[in-house]
Amino acid sequence: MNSKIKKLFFLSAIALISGLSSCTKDEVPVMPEAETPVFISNEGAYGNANASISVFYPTENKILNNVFQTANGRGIGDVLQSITVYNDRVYMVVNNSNKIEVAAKSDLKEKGVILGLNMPRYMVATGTTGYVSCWGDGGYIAKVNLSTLTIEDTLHVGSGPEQMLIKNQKLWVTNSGGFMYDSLISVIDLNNFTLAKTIVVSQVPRAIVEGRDDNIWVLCSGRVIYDDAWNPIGHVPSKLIEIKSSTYIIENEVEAFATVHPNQLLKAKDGNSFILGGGYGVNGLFRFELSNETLQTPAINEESFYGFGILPNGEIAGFKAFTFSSAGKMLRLTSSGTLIQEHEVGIGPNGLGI
Amino acid sequence: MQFAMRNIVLITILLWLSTALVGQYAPPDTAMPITGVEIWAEKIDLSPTGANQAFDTLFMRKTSNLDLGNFLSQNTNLQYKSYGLGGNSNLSMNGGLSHHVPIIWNGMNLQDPLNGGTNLSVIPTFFFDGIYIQKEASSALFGSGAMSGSIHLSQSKKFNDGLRVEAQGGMGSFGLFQGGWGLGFSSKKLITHTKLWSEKAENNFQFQNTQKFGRPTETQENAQYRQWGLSQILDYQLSSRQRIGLNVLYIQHQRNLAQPISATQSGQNQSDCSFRAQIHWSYYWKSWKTSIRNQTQWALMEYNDTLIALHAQHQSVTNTTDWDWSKRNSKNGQWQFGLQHAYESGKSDNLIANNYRSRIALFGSFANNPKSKLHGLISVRHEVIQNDLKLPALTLALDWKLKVNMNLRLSLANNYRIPTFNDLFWKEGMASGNVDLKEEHSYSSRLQYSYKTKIGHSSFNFEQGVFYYFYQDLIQWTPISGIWTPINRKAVRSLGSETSLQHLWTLKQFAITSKITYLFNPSQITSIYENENPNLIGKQLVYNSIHTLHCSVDLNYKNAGLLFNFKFESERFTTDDNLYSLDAFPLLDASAFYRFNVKQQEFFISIGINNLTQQSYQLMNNYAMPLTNYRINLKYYFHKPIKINK
Repeated sequence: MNSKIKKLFFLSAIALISGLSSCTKDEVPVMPEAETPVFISNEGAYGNANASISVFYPTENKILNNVFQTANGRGIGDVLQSITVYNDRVYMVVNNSNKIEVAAKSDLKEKGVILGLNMPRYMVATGTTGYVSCWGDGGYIAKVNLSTLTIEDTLHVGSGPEQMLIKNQKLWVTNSGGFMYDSLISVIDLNNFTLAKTIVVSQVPRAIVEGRDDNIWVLCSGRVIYDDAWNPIGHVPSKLIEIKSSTYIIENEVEAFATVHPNQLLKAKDGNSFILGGGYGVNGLFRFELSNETLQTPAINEESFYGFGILPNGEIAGFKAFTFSSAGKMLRLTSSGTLIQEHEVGIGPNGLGI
Repeated sequence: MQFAMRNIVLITILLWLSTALVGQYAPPDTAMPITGVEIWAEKIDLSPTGANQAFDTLFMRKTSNLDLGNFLSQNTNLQYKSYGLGGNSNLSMNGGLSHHVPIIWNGMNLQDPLNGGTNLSVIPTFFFDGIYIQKEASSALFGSGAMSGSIHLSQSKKFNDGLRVEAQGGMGSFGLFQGGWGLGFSSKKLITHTKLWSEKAENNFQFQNTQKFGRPTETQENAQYRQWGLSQILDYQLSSRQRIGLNVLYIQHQRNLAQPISATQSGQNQSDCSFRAQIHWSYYWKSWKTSIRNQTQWALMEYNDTLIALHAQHQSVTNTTDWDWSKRNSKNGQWQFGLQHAYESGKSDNLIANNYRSRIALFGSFANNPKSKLHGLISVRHEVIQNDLKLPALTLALDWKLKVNMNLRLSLANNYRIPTFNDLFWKEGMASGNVDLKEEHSYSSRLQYSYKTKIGHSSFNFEQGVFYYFYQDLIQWTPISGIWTPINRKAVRSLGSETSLQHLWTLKQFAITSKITYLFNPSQITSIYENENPNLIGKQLVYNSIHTLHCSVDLNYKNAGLLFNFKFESERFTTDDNLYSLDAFPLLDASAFYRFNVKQQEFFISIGINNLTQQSYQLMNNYAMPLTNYRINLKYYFHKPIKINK
């Protein structure tokens, strides 16, 4: 009798508790079909594997959080470094999970995964091929078949390759140095996937965008110089460097800041200016006018953003990360930097995929 | 390695056989040769009443050989965190964090000055004769760090106890092999007891990877470990008034570090080596005693990541000397006062510089006669750390015997913890210390009511406790701008209640002990500093369940027994804003034992089955835990008492 009672007790307890634990608080989001979505990459805290995607619909002014998790019943992984939207797919580059998750653009349902990457950072694509910058193994570019989601080839470049740009069948790669520092731009001929040129710029090149007249601009973040005891003793300034794409010659070099080290550079929608900012210790977003090639001060918005993006309508999305143990915010700004609205997003928002 | 472990098990069995033969000349003894242990309590105890919990030698013999973390996880309602089998583990209580619960070995603190923690998975319970959980905070008694409570590991020291031999062997799921040996001798003047422990496991269990595309069933990789350790006790009675002694604890542990289930590969491994030695001298005069104790603690940790060719070495040394005077067993009460000096140093590839600090503390305690209707303890500690005089820590505990079977207890304390070297000076790619950290303080109070009664063959013990902890400037490592950094949480309030009911039913040789404990413990951030996210106010502290239920049923018939442990933990938040959490989970473990005697020899056979219900769960975010797994242990004890001529 006693053993029966005990058994009943345990079974009841387990049943009750299992019932409690299976309750879900996630609300299934409905993604509007009529509008082009903007994907926000929330990288999550390093080591915690709580990266997520928020989806923003500018016209409806609607935002959905944690969409990949809700659509697939699992997380993305550890440190979502960037998102590339290409054709009908969304490619999520998950740095510390060494993979790229692939999902449908329409509903973020999982479609596959690209494995075998070592610390991937960014992806660009053309045709049926993707190119992924990877920090591992001394720094390399992986050539990925987007039909089979397999790696076809790899090519060593500089250390810590970051953002890339495809122009005239050439892949331009910034080499930041990764955990150290580098000063190289690698140019890869995509016809034969070989290194065509290496250009020495300033320290820590991270971002690259097209300018005017076939020229390419590179943001070199610079860095803080430390002594052996990690005391800061100086700075390598941040610079904007203009390179003629056809000749690989540096045409202009503009010092951005002597002691501030932004890590993002994007072209404004009108194509007449760049916006730069983002990163630790960078207070504000700044405009760089292409007409006179000068950096405008003061900042168009003085908030400190972890990252930012340009929305399809030309507005700016500024991302505040706070700590990486709580939700961040997207500050929707006009193209001139005035705050329109705030939205809560995931942990550690760092950029957009459109 | 496998070959070596098979040998260890084989040698263990041979040792049993040989000692069984040796023991045959001893006179038969039908009673279990389990005697009480003399715990080397170096501080006046808070009272054994209240919510404190103790495990004695017999209980530990009946259960499987577990590391300290798993033992406490199965048998208590403490908040346990583990990076999987063999991985780093720790625990917390009363709504605090793991570094608020020091591990106290024979009265002295084992917390590492680098990280403020003690990895419970590398400490085998085999070395100890008693484990005692003190759920009341007391920096006044145990110094910096004892902000939430403390866990005490003790070893038996008894003169005139004779010869003791023990041998243990075990094996279990996922390539687990264990072996332990002990040899002790105790005469009128000398106690010596040596114990050796060795263990290894492959930890290649299977789990469903819910974080990967296709949710594949995977086998845990890169999670193997092996360890061995030595424990030595040496005590000598110099004269009727003087006693000297030495305790040594040496543990070497090597393990590969399993990757989180969100990762695709891991090449990390870690090697821990620690040496702890205590020497002591005591002088007795009437009811007075003076003691000088010195503890040296050296720890070396080496970390490697073969994927990114990273190697880091961390080394710490702590030397602590206590000189105290105490007057015990007096009708007028017990006194203790003394002076403690501690020197800590840390050296690490990831510290800005080699670091050291010196600490001097004055401490004193008074407790009135424990037989008094109102029994009280007051304890105070005043510490100077690197010429910085800290606020005095005070503990007050009152036990009021309302009736013979009814007790009311109140404890109050203010406690502190200074930042560790890692907290202050760590520097590497993904983490950074914070030299601006303030020390932590906690103000704790607990009111506990207990009632005992007996009805027929049943006896009941009911306990109800309510507690309030207020943590000020609580130090918590938090990812800021992608870099893990320690920050001060301005205020965290932990308010809770713990209810337990124990029932013992005995009839002839049949006994059932059942116990149910429910803990309700919201522990919330109540105030933040500038520039912090205001949404954090009112949020539960990460990795602290609000609801914990623990039930145990211990059935014993003659020399056999069956023990069930059931534990339920509600969801645990993994981010400060409580948006992400680990699911609640129930766990059911069972173990059975049978013991028999051959003259003065005692044999235990125990089988433990963990996670009987195949529960998929995580204790740390994205680290897999095994489904049902088992352990089998064979234990042998031989005791030949000394004949004392009267």
